This record gives sequence, C-alpha cells and structure tokens, in this order.
Amino acid sequence: MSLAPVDVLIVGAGASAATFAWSMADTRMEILCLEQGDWVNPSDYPSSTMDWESDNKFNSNPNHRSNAADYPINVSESPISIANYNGVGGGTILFAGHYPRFHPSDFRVKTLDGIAEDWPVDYQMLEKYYDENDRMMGVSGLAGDPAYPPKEAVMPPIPLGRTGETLAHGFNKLGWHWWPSDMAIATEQYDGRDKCINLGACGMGCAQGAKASTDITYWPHAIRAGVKLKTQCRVREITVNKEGKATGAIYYDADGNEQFQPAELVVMACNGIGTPRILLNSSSAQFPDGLANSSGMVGKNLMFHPYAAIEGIFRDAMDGAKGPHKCVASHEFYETNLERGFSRGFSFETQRGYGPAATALRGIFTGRVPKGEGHHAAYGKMSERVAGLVAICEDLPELHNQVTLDTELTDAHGIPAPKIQYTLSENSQKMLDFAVARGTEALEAAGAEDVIVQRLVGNAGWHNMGTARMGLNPQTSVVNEWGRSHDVKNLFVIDGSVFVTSAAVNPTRTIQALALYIADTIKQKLASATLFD
Amino acid sequence: MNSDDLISSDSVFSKKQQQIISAIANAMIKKDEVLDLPSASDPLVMKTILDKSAHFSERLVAGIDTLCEEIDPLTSTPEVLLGVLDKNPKFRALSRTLTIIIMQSYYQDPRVLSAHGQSARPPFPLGHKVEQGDWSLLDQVKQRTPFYRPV
Repeated sequence: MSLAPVDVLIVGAGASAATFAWSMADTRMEILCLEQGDWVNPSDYPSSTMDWESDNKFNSNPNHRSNAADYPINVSESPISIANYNGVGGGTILFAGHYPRFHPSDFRVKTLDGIAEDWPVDYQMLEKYYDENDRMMGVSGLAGDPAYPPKEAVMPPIPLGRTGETLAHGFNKLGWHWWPSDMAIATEQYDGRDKCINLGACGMGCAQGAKASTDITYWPHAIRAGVKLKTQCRVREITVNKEGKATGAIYYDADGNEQFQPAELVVMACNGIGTPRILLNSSSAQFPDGLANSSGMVGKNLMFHPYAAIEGIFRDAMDGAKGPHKCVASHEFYETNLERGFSRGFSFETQRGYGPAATALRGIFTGRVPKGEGHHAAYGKMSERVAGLVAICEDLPELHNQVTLDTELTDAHGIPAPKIQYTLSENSQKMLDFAVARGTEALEAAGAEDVIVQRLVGNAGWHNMGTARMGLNPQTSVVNEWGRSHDVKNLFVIDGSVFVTSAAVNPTRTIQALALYIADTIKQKLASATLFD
Repeated sequence: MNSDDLISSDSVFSKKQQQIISAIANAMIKKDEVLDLPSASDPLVMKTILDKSAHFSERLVAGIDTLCEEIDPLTSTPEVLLGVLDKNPKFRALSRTLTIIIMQSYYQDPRVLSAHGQSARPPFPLGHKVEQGDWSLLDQVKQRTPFYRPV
C-alpha cells in the first residue's frame, strides 16, 4: 500500500533524527519520521521500583533485551557486543549523559599523525552547531577547561561528590589534568525539564526527566513545529527509481502490514549498525552491492571505543549509586605522544560507583566476594566503596572491521540481521595496556586499597561509527561533506555512520552537531536550488 | 520455611526445577542470623529469582537438565553443588546466568539493603543527596595553560 508522499522521510528517531527534524521543521516541509520502537513512558523506567538495577526491558544489549522493537545482532565474531536502545530517543534513553565535544585535532588525524583520514569538516565549522545543540539539550559543565578551546556551560556542573573529590585528589597528586564532565543532565530546571536529584539510575532511563534524552528535548519541539513521528514502523529497505533516485521506504507497520512511504528526500538515522544494515538490505539491479555503496564502504571501517575499566576499592565510602554515573574526566593522555608506543590517545571518565547488585557481581566475578561462606562479610567491604575510571580509547578505521548481513539470522519481520566482524588493532591493544597502567596509578594515588582491572569491557559497544563515512572522494567514502550520498543525490546519512575517525570521547554531542550542520546545509542548498547538484 | 511455600504452580519451571534453583540460591548466599540477612532461597527473594529467570527459561532448563545428569542437586551439599557449577566448564553459562539473576534478585530485597546500611527504597521519586565536594581542588588545574593540540 502506498501512502501520501512526504518531502522528507527520516528513518530512526534517536539523537541525530530528533536534532535534524527539529532543525528542518522551520522549512515547513512535510517531514515524517519512522521509528521501529515506541515512545517510552518515563513512569515505566525502573528507577521507581526495587528492580531499578536490572529490569531486562532496559538492558542495553538488544540480544538480551529482546523487546519487540529490537532486532538481533550477530556478534559471534566480535569481542565487543552492541549496546543500543530502539525507541524514540534511541541510545539517549539509556546513555549516561556523559557529553564531551571532540577536540579540534580529532578532525585532522591524517594531517597530524599520518594515519586514517582527515574529516571534510572541522571543529571550527561545527562550533556554532555544538553551541546551538548545547542550548537545546541543556548541558551542565564548567567553562575554562584547558583541554579544549573556550566553550560556555549552559548550567552549573553536577556535584563532585565523595567519588569526584577522591579521584581529583589522585589526579592532582600526579599533576594530571581533570575537569568536571560536560553532562547532558540538567542541574537546574531547564526547558520544561526538572533538575537532577541524583537518582543514580541514568543507564536505565531518567524518570526525573533531568537527563537530556531526545524524546524530551528535541522531539517535543519538532512535533510542535509540525514534524510527524510514526512509531512501531520497521523499515525494510529504501527504494529507488530507474534514475537512481530514492523514492521512499518499504516498512512494516504496527500491525505487521507492509507499507510504502514515498518521499522526496530520505534521511538515514539508524546508528552505525542500523544504517548500513538497511542500505545493504536495499540492494537492487542498479545497486547490487547495496544502496549508496559504489565505493564498497557501506558497513566497512566500523569503529567502537575500546573501553578498559579500572576500579578501586576504598576504605571510606564513595557515592555508590547515588548521582550521575560520571562526574569528572581526565584528558591528560588524549593527544598523540608516540613515546607511549601508540598513535592517538584516550580519555578517562569516572565511574562514580555502583548499585548493590552490580557491586556484588563485580565482587564475585573478580574473586573479591565468594559465593557461600564469607559472602556477606566480603560484600560488606565492597558495598559503596567501589569507584573508578573507564578509559575510552580512540579506535581507528580498518576495512576488515565491518557490518555485513547475516545469511541466516533475521528479525521478527524476516529482515536479514546485521553481523559484526571486529578485531582489536595492535594500536588499541597497546593503548589499552597503557591506559590500565595509568588508571591504576591514578586510583592508587587516590587511596584505593585494591584495584580491579577489566582490560577490555565486552558489553560496551555503545558507540558505533564509521560505517557510511563522509569524505570528498566518492571512491573511498559513502556520503559527501554534508551527509549526502555520493551515489543517490536525495539520500542522506546523519548518524554516527558518517564519522571518519572516532576520537576518544563519547560521540553523541558531535553526532548532533553534525546533524544540525547537515540540516543547515540542506536548507541553504534548498534556498539556492543546488541541493541535487 | 518449607520450600514448598515458594513453589508457584504457574511458573514456567517445574516444581523440581524450582527446587533446584532454590538449592543453588541457598548455596550461593546463606542465611546469616547475626547480620539478620536472609538466604537467597528465602521465599520473597525466590519469587524475584523465578520471575527474572522466566526470561531465560529455555537456557536454564537445558542447563539444569544437564546438571542433573552430573549430580543430584537436591541431595548434594551446597559446597559440592557450587563446586560443580563453578569448576566444570560444561556449566559455565548456567552458573553465570544464575549468579547474575540471584545477585540481582537478592540485592534488591529491602531487608538485605537495610542490613548493609543502604537505601532500601527505589531511587525515584525522592532521589539522593550528593555532596558538592571541594571545588578548590580544581585550582591546580585552572593554572594550567591550554594544552589541546593546535590544528
């Protein structure tokens, strides 16, 4: 069945889609977003129940969560499994709200370090979009961070707490940089949202509405401005006409009926796994290797952030699960120093503490807390006394790290599922080892009596980047410098797939700045009638 | 407490399977009368365990069936039961899944949290107090000249 055509069809309703839709709304074009999941009612978040640590409906691993909106992902050939959320707001529903910007150097990796590629955009171009996005999302932080060019904070920073203070002592002893984290968490009432009351359950959705998931930031504004959002609509493929122009999308509606939604522009916003999956599923006689894939780069160059977790057990009480998970960050080892034995670098984020169940499981799986005899006493020594760091390491693009289509696994609608093939590079291995050693030093300087190391966190595939990368050369990139497919002139990609390199910080703020930049460029080109040139 | 008290007839697990899960829970976390802590096989904790286990019933049932080929979990001592579960690679997945479920269930019980001096209520709507901390610690970093890499 064919529906009434729209001007702009956005596939996916996460961070990039919400941001883009809001920006495009002032064109007064007919804009429709299709989302395979649904709205989340904040009263359904588990933080109002005793099961707030482990409600499986909000498990970050889609293979474990298995909600109706989820599709399976074959990760049998990857040491890192995928974390996501399928619903309005996407990954921002479950993200911790740690919200750093990229550094200027992140956009010039080849020029500065002779590896990977430069981006076709830079920090200066994106700066005004970062600023605009900060106001829309409501970012808390503190101006003056010497690790960055000057930037303002919209709201005061979240509290240091006992954990932040303890780790700050350690960083200061070593003479290392640290700074209160920029957070997408309101510390004051902001744009109809209430301020943070330290629920400590950010990773399971924020019932208070203080965390800036895009279902409560951009989407209400976009919808009030006329954008339409249809949920429980799972897109199977993007269709094209004989001129090679995208014509719309075939999707399954909430009742499982196949529908065709015609559109003038199609915008992919399904993250670094979902977007290549749909493009590869959209093969045709004209595009036998998948849509927009004449370069062969769709699904290639998959980048995660390899994470190491370094946690200390302290004699004194830390914050436990009270407060946002993150409080301060260190960028001491962010920029390249080849004397360390690897290119590029990493940042440290703090882990403020853990809830009761997470503490017990950490204790058991690291041999600190036994099962059976001695369990209670050993648990008591760890309870609310664990705090630490995660090192978020820059990953580099490699062709063999990729998203392909699984030949057997499908979702509930029979659509081929994605398969991940990923190996850690030698550079990442060396960086992880170095980060573990430095993290251990920092925790010992902060007074930790025992240090627990997880050299590679396996369930941390939150940041999925690079699988439809941007670039000026159509032979080595999928989209141009403003997100338009080189092959299909009315097809755009606006999510983390377009990243050229991964930086060493969480990507959401940059994804959203890019979405605003792409929307702005489209509007300018619409005004000058050059959009399809 | 009779273990029959906690057996739910509408569970996806048979009575025997429920008894085996209860025996494993009791082996993992025993009752401590001094600290006033229940065992993980306490009926209220077991209800949560069984509710959570339902999502993983297929793999748990298969694992328990295999375990029963190795030992009789209902007559084995807790030490033997834990030893088999944790040391035999054949039961690694079963042990891991049950450990996660049992710990998540036990450590959300208000009696357990109270005994450990932790907040025995859901985080929302009251939230928590977190101290601001000593912001003067940042003075040292503020003295540093900008060190982001020029491009």
